[in-house]
Amino acid sequence: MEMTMRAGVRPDARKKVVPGFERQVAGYLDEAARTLPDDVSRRLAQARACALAGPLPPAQRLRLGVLGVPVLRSALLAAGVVFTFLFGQYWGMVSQVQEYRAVDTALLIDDLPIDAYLDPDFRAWLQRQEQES
Amino acid sequence: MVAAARTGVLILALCLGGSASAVSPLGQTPWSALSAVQREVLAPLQGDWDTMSEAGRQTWLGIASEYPALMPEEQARIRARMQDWARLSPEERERARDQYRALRSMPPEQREQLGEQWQQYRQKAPAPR
Repeated sequence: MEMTMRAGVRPDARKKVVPGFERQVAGYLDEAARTLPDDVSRRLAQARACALAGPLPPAQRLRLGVLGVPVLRSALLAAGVVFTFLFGQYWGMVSQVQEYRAVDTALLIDDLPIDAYLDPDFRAWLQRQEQES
Repeated sequence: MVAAARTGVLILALCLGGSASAVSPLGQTPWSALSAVQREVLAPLQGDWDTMSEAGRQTWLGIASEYPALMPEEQARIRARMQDWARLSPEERERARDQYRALRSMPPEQREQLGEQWQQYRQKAPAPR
């Protein structure tokens, strides 16, 4: 019980949950705690009080992250890169499809057959005709 | 900080949502996913549909959406040329588009003569090119 007192836990709270075997364990701990230096006992008491106060708020956990790396900032950066890449791909595709759709429709309904647009010599021939006339 | 976390989650959701919505234009569009009208218009392409790029499919779907507004003779031309056009290589299609843009940038009076000039050219150079 001495250990619980030194660790900052209310004795009445311990009484409610320590019957039988657990009481024995608590006794051993109290006995061993007598040999601990004062500063160790104080740190243990602080750690226990902190643990009993509940988990860290989510925002604080996010700030700490893994191994001290700010997870939120990394996630935002990664999300930004992924978003930019995907949006670039998407927009490039949409622009190309829009352009091809307009040109291809016009080309396919045109008076001239497709062969006229596939023949590179036709344009050169037209230019020669124009120069001669 | 909570607001920043919420913003981060929102951005991530937008990224994932954006990639999911990008599946429609960028992902695969099988022939079975086409509407009855689209299948009817694009029927000449059914055999080539599976081998087309998704950009090509989306282009054809765009053309199919404009099809009902075309004149009957224009619709007939598209259907007659559809298969040949789809079977050209991407380079050939790009070359044809470039030539189309160049020829269509001519003055209107010259453009009107293009059909006749094409016939003259074909008579003078009848060999297939």
